[in-house]
Amino acid sequence: MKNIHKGLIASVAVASVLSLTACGSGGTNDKSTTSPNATGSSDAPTPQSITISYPADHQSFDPTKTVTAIDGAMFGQIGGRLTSLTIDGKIENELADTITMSDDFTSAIVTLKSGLKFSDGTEIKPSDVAATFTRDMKVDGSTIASLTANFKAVTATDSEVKFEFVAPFPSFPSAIAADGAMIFPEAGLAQGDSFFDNPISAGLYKLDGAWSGNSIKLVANDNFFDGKAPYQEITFTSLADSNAVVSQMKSGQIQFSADLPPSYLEQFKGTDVATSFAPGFGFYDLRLNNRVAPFNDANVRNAINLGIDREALVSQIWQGNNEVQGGFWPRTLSGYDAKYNTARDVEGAKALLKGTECENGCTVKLMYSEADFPFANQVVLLVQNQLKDIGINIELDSVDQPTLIDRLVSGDFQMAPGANNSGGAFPDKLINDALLSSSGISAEFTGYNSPEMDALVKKVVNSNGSAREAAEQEVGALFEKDRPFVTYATRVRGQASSLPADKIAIVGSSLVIAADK
Amino acid sequence: MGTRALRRIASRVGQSLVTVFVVCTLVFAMIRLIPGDPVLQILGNEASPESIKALRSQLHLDGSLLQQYGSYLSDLLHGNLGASLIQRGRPVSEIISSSVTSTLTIALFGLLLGVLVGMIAGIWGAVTRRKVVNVGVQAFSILAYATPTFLFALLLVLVVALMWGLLPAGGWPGGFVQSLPYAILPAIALGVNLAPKFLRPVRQEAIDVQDTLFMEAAISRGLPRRKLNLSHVLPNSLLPLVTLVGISLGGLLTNAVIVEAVFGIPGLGSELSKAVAQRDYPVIQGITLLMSVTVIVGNLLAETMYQFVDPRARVQ
Repeated sequence: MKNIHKGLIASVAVASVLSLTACGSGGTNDKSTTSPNATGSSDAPTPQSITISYPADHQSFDPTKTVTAIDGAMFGQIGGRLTSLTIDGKIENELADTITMSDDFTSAIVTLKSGLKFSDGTEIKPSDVAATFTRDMKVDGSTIASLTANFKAVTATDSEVKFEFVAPFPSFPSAIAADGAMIFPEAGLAQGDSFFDNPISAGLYKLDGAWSGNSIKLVANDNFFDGKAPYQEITFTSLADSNAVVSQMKSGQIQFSADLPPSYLEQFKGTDVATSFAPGFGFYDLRLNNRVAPFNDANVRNAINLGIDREALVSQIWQGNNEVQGGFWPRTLSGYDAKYNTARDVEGAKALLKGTECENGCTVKLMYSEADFPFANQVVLLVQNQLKDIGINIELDSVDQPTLIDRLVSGDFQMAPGANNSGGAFPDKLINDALLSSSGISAEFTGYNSPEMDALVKKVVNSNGSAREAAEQEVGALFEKDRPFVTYATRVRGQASSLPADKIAIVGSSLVIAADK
Repeated sequence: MGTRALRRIASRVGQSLVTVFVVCTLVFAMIRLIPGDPVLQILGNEASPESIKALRSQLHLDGSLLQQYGSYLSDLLHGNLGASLIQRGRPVSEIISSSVTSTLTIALFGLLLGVLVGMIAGIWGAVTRRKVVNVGVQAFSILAYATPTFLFALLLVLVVALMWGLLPAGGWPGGFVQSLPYAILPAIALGVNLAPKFLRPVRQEAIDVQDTLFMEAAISRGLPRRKLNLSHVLPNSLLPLVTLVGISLGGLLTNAVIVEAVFGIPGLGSELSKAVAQRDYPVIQGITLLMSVTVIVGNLLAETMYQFVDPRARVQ
């Protein structure tokens, strides 16, 4: 009997050790394998067929009806757009030959390159562009409304497309590079919703059949006007479980994976999978409900700003492979100013709390959802620990994601970790969503309402060049004073890849595959 | 089968229909009582009061609960499970049909494996005279029963797929034949967890059968041991399997959800968990309806079959 006991104990012990190895993020911190821009090697042989995984689910091939990252990534490959993002982060004309903005930025004339074809071989005409954007503008509850709300009318002649805007829109050339701003044939759109079961556009790839299980195949579009696809076939697969992604990458079933949690990237150490964090055009923040105590007091909000240790957050969550952010603008946008990345100042925070509701300590509820961020648990525990030092006691309030969104929208919270970002290297969406009092999400859900900031937001969005840069600096300064929420790091997206980094990478918030030219 | 038995089966079918109706109503009400709005899930940061109102109306979520329930029941009676809110208009029946193959494949293979292992090991453990086999069977039973399915599934991925490279680490390419290699590890994970549930009752039944008078009579007639086991012990020990298979369907489907997650299989379980996380009401309703009908029909079949295979049940 003793021997049986020993055998059982040994089996359980082995099982436990193996399971911990399989489940855990494991290992020590080694920056050499999880470093920014360390993805892939150009010398690696190029496979003909690759598989890309995203944790998000497919919603629709209609860009006005989806917000998920996997749909955005597919739109980036199958969609022909007037402008597009290159793999080195630049915006360049794609289908557009010229884009001429009016002097007051209230209209733009776009001409198309000659000989352009959709993936079915039909010619791309200006009327297709006008039909696409006119249809996008009319869709109720559109998920690309932040772009199309800028348009008053889009009309076409035989040779050009005219965009008229409701207000000056200098970011137009950058904004239309968004994944969802793809062009469809007018005749296809006339078919109604059924067209989007298998839409036709003019990207580097085209759809090859429908979803099979959680996967769908794209094949090279031979009618693409500007080079050849580096991979003949791409399979997009939606895979929510990060452990499953890691296993399938290690076994070679998946070659590129986006949006993996930071702690999982460490599991690729010692493999041929390179990992990196692609900086996006946004930030991670702590949303403070400005409508309710104690965060209706700017001094308490500023005390939180001084009380958190950004270096520790970045070091713990991204193992140092991200950068701290203390101001409004992320390092990827032009308004960025490093002077706002202040170090932790516990005494300064305590001084700010004098005369506030939290002078002798206070308790605040921090609402979060594990599904919102893969590292939500880490953030809330670290913040809870850090704010204890300035007398703010954090009570954690864990909810599921739909509840989180409900309560954020209705303002039923005190504090919550969050993130926001712009669709590209232009400030419009970020500043509108995060600071404008009339934005759909009430200034990053905080309820912040400053007429002065509203005016500055309009100034940034409606201006260009040095005038915009000056306005961005003013926004940065006012944000520092009012501190409606607390930023702590630049928004990044974890990627793991066994493919060359000059062929496929996440740039900002888009998946970019470079054509062979 | 007598009239009495038929009446009894008809009564059970009626009870099952009532149970399905209650399940439908409860699921409909419960998912709407918990916080979370599918419209906000869809719109994300693009939500504005106008877009929320427009989309809610477009998705027919602006009517009263009673109106929505009435329309759901009416659709259901016409065989229409509705359309997904999140996958914008995709019929629920299409979502189910595209995901049910993988779930059914791994569940059926898992069940088959569980039954075979449970049956063979149970009878072997009962009839063997070798103590080491008996102890081994019991140890397997305890270990397999105590090891959580996800843990065993992860071990299979780690050892069989990653260390030995014998089978895929997960995924589901679609198409029955191409997907078979992808079903092996998930089916083993399910089957091994299920086997002890069959093993122990079969073993106990086999031990009991060996103590019966007809076995003593057979032994005294000098029947060889192999024939005794095959002709008398085996058939008489399998009776519990009929009911156990029906009863295990619920647990099997629950475990399939876990196994699908570990192996990244796009089955009913993963569709259901996604739908719950996104408050996709029609998909939740459709899949829970299917799962509850499966369990109810499984139990009903088990009960009915028992009447056929065991004469004592008919007499009682």
